[in-house]
Amino acid sequence: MAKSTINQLYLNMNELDRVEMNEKIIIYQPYDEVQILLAENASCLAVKTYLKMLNRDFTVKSCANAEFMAPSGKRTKLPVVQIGNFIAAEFDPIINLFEHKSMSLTENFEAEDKDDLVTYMSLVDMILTNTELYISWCDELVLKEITKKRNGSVYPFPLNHIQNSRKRYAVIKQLRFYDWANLTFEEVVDKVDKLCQTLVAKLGDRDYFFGSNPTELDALVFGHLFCIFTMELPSSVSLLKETINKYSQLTQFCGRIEKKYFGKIKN
Amino acid sequence: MGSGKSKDSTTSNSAGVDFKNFKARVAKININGLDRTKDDYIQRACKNLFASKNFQDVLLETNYAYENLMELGIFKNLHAFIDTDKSKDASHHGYVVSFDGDELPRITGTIGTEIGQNDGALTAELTSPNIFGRGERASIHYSYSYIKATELNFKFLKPFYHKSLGDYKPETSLSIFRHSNVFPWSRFRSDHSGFLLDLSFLAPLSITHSFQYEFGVKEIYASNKQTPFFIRQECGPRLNSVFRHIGAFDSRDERVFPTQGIYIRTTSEIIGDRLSKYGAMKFDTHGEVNVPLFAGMSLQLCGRIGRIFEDAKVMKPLPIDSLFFLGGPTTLRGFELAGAGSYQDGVPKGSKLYWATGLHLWTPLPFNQYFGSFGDLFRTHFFYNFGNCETLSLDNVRTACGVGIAFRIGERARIEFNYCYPLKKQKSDKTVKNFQFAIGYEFL
Amino acid sequence: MELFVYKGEYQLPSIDLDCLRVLMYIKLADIQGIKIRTDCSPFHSNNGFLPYLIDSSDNKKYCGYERIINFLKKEGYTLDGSEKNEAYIMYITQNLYPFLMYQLFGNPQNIDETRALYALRTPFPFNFYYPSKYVRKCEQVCQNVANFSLEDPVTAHDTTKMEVDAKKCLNWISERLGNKEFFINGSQNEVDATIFAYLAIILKFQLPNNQLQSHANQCKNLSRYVDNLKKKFFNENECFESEKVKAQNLKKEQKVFTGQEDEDPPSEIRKRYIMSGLIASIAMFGYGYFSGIFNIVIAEKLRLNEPETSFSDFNDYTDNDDE
Repeated sequence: MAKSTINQLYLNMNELDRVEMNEKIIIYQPYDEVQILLAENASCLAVKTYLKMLNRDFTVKSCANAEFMAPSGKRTKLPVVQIGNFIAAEFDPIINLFEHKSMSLTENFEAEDKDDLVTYMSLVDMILTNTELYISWCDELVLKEITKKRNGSVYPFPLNHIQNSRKRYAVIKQLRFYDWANLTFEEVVDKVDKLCQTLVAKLGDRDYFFGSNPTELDALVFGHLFCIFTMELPSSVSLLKETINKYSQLTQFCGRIEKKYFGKIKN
Repeated sequence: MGSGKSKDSTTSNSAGVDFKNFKARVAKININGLDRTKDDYIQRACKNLFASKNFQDVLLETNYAYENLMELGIFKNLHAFIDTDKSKDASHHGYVVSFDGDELPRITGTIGTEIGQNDGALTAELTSPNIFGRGERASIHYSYSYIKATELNFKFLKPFYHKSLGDYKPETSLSIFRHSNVFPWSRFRSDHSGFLLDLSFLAPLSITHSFQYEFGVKEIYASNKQTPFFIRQECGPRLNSVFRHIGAFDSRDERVFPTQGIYIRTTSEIIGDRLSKYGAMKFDTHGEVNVPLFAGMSLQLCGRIGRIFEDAKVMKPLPIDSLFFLGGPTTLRGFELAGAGSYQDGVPKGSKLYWATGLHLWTPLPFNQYFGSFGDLFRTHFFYNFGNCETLSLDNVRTACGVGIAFRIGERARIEFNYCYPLKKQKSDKTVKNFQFAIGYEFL
Repeated sequence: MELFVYKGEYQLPSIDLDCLRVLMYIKLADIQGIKIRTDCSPFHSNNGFLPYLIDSSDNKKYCGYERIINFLKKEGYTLDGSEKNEAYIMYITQNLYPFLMYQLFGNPQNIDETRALYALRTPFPFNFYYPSKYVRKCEQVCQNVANFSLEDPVTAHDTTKMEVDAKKCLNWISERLGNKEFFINGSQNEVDATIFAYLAIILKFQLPNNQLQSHANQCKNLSRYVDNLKKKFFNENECFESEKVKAQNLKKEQKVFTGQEDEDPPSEIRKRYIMSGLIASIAMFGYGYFSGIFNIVIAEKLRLNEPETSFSDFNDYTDNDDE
């Protein structure tokens, strides 16, 4: 069984080598109170949780155009993280960076567990991000009551309407790419339900998904679920919350992480 | 046939007869070949003909009328005829002036290519002249270029030549545009779309004024991964509402290789980032003076100055794509595009104040007489240009001199091929020490 | 039930990724009574893509991999489930799909080849349209995953991330697979259908530029896996290879030079150049002589008696065609 090489491509990773890890970490994200949307908030929270798990300090800067600053990223393009000269967006490249520097949470994992980690992460990321985008941009009531107001809040008239429709178009295009655009709300909830079952099975009665220590997957799941729990959503989509609430292991899991990493802030 | 002027004046000269002595009055004017044009739109154009007293006047006024008619933008071609009045009750020095013309077709189109600095573009334009019979003109212009600086323009123009203010040549137009500019030196791209209202007219002293209001959305994109962070922070859409005045005066004998005359153009803008807030002003002036010398040589002195005033209390600072970048083969030769000015993170960051001047000595090609008209397409020049950013003083001034050859393309553009030698530069400036190639419309 | 798929090539049962996935699923789940038809057009599919399945009992149409599989599962044709199945499929899709799509429909070197493959399998007026739907899909992939557009110049196609992901994923598959016959615990699983489909296309397609193929070829167990599954589940007449490809393969094996242009010895090429140059100049001189552009005057002089050719306008014409 030969494993073939991808060395020459890793040469590009030189860029990662040059990153000074001692530099201050700055997270750029949209305004928490008025602007940020569900999926963006989830992604930002996941990154923040991850950094907290790593015991890294960071400063959060709010700016209206955070998503346009991103150099890469395929979903929400948020948060934008700056470490010295290194700039990255979204959860993935930030994890890659820490992994590359041998500073990740899963340094000593067995190959089998690592497989599980990456596969579960891609599953969670895909389904929950799509769900959040779907809720925000495809549900008429949420779109009208929350999404348009928040997304447009930082732009003057008439740019707010232009930006709302532009972003909606882009999100729907993205959802169509994942074959999600034509789903009904029930189908979406069904997918989330299935995912929760998988997660609960994986979690078992342990503290974290891979035993007693937190991993990237924990940060990601917490980021998404916590945002769905806490975001105020109209009753038309409350089924989503109820579905996740059915799984008490997951709510307890979120509570555990919140207490451990964000307890200080909340009180 | 054709334009009456040249023919008529030559006849008058060759015959050696003074037409002023012949009494004449115009009894009738015929304008043929018009179909959808409204009568009132053309009437004003030849009104003065009736005022002529002698035959010389008739000839001159016919000529003016011919020019006026062509300017209306409704004729494809036009011929003027002068004949004696043959009707029964005609006075014996009555004349009839007839204009025979073809109207422009309903729709005309052009397809072409454009070549610019480091870029080529494919352009297509569809025009519908004279839509409602009074010179209204709608056109769609599309250009697609290699570096994706795509442009799409829709323009509706309405002249008011026929109204009582016709002498001031008033024109209104509405354009809906969408174009993108690339700033490769600073690694970003900006897309701009919106609409533009324009009112332009000719004021006394032959100064053309145009008042514009522009409303649109500007969006800056980082063009690659190396785009520095301070530019990234300006990315994203922005509302752009601008009141603009452009004034121009042009007395040059020619646009590409002028030998005498003055040209001045100033642009003033009041810029706001929302409909109700205006917090920035931008001025940009270009001027040139041409003085003819002996042996076909001419001296040209030109200058540019631009300045931005901002009120930080009212609105955010202007985005980087509104700032001035100094340097480049069409402005401050001897420097790279945007190569003169302050840098940040390895890229030019733009400035709010700049000035630049150039001194040229233009000469025809040596042995020009042997090349015939082909030689008129070329000129050689010696130049010395200097300029500065962020200050009006001569501290840290950038200067360069050189020699080059210029080639005319069409009626507006020219190509320059210069050997440049930068004399004075600042540490961070990027210079071009040898040959520099330039192509453009407006040069310093 | 009837399943409509693209016909195969390169000894595969179908050329299309999703078609292959469905076909393999049917084989793995051992579903009898599905008629597989290749004489179809994407026009009849609801979403413009093959495969689609028609349930003969109520004439309902199911288009696309997911809908077909869900329907089959509902009908009771399931495989031994593992809860990881979906996560694996998702992971493989997320990593392999973008770069494979780019290689097939985005890479300018390959696009003609793949378009032709699809166009040949689509009936007449539709063959101009439907292959381009795949290109548009690829455009979406590129915009979503890597932020570039296919219309950008090739140098701006930033595929590094995609490529690393895809190659990492191949390594991952290879490592996990080992020498097992099936991916999970040696038993047939839904994920096998997906892996087989991806690997079959990566390994069997003959494209001018196939970076994934050379990468996958280094992992011997991958090609073994594909060959095994193919032999086990598909018999000879289900796979297809056109005469043209067969001939090409044969040629490759024998390594014989035939009369194709770029395989000519240099002397041949030179001869051809000289001949065409000669014919062209003869034709031009002939035209010039007979139409009076130039004429040959033999001047009688006192001492010398040599012909003198005088050219008039002709110089300008010959300059360009001298070679």
